[in-house]
Amino acid sequence: MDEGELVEYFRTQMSQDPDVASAVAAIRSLLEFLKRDQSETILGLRENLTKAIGRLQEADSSVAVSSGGELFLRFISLTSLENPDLSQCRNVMIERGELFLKKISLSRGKVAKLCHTFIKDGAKILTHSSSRVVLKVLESAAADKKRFTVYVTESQPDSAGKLMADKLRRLNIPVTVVLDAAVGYIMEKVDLVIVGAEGVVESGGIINKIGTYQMAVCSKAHNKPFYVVAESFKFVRLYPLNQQDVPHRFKVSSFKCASCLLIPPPIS
Amino acid sequence: SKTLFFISFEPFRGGLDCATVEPLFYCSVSSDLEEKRIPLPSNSQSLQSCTVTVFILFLQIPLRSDYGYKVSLFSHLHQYSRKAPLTQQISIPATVIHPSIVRLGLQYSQGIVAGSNARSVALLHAFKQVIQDYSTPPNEELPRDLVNKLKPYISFLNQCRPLSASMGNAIKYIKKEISNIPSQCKEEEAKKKLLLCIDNYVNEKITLAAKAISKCAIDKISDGDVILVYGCSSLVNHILCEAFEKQRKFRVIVVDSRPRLEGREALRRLVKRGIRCTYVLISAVSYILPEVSKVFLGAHALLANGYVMSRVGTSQIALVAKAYNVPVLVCCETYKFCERVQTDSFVSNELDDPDDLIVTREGKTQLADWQSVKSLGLLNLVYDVTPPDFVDLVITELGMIPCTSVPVVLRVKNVDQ
Repeated sequence: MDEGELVEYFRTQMSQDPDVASAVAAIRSLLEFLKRDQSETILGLRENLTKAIGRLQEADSSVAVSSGGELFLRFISLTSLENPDLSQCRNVMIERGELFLKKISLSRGKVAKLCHTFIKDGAKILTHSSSRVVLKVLESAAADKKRFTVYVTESQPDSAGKLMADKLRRLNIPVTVVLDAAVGYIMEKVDLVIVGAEGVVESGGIINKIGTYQMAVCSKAHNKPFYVVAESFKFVRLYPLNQQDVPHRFKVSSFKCASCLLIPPPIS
Repeated sequence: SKTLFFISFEPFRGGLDCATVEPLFYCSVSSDLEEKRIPLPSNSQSLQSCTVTVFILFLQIPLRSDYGYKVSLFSHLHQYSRKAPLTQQISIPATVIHPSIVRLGLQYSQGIVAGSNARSVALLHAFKQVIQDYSTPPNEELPRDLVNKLKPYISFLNQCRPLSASMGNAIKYIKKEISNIPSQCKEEEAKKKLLLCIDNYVNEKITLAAKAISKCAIDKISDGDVILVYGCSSLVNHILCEAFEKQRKFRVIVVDSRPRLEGREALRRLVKRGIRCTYVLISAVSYILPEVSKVFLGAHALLANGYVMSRVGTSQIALVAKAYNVPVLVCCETYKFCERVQTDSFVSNELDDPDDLIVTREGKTQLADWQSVKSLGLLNLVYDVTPPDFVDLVITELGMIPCTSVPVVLRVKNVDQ
């Protein structure tokens, strides 16, 4: 499987299932790459995988693909110590890969199960832009017969907040779309803030859609709890000291938003 | 209040002939005191034997006397004068203390060897010399005897200048290595093994660690950065020189403070490499901080609760940097991590010579007779403690960790050993 095919496979995965996390799709594609790989040695296999991950990151520069790829590579290096025979090793890797993939596909459900207890009856929740994990959390809270209202920021420039509001309306959850600039205004009314994350960094912070930091600072000022819901494969080996320290490729939009205008990078 | 006791050994029957020994034991004295002579009862056999052991222990190291008035908050610490080094009080022949240790002690107390890494490396080299010159006495085993031999050296060095955390860890390592030597091992082999162990320790924990830390740290230095450093940390200077070799474009602001003025040494080293530097005193730090993009600090030790112990003034700089939202990075090797927990700078610190604070300007020395003023105390603190909320990142050879991960590293290291 060459690199062009890999990217095609990845893209088809993403378009077939709009609900799948990009890291999961990346790991699925890498597993497929591993299955079709023809190298003779473990070192060769590792090199091919590293190149494949690099190619995937070029195709989709989001944090999640980077963390997913690194997780997969690390997991491969751990298995390779056990079996000296390459074909046996590869079979073990593939088996473990499938198991790993199955586990992480279930992770969103697990997060939702853990988180919905934080939402009390009658709560007013503020969220930012469109996050599938947050949607799952709110879905399971609604299924638990809890009554709550949601405020979503419009989240320009791609107006993803409006999409989120549509999805929530379909679940019969009362939702209001607010302007990004109205976060400070609305903060006194809400009880808690829940956001998703693109990536979780080593210092404990998160990388997320632009506007999340303002929301966090505002909620701290109002002493409102600020919750982040993220699957474990989003943990990335970065330690940014400030906004500038985040690598540039993680700051611009990934190919998913190809339909919307390409967002120019923030002024550095 | 302390009491003085002179132990003057009258030769006692059946015991050792100690008429040639001079009384060597004295500690700090209160001025109103009377001498009491207590004759040692020499009829009890057990008393004789225990006095013999006591005699051997006390023979070893003279105690250094404190100098000058100590500020009451720090009265539990020692304050020595540089003009009265411990080596002047040693009247016993140097067979008790190895000459390289005596030299090292003098270098410490006079400040010739200063800085955490330099002191540890000098200590380990002196111990190598001790081990090379050591020969096991008959009826003794090398592991136990050598460890016992090292104890008076360590207390001597402690008297010259209180041991640093890095030195403490190095000594623990050496003692462990010595006691782990199998008893059937021949002396030559054992000595060779120990020397190799010490070389490995210095290489791994200090030299290679510095390389690993600079590799990590260079990622954090971007072009156009203005980096603030405080005092002279060998590790931070190494990082900046390496970054400059790798063609990073940055400039450095060196902050300095009295009375040690160590920043001048750092300045000299950086300017020699060609790095653009600015030099300010610590009183100007809030003026210069709006220009700064990062602060790099060295550490003397990292405590188990995440606090950073470093040269006095470091916590001040970290505080002001936090107020200006400038990231503070601490660079520290893992051998400086210690199990101690401290939340303030009083409980355990070091007091330097108070006479260092006296300065002569335009021929006038204001504080020349500070001792005569009863209500005046001069305080020359050496270390202070920075809380982890002011530190954004700690760079160690294990990678970049937040300050709160220090106990995790300690736990992992203990498991390894």
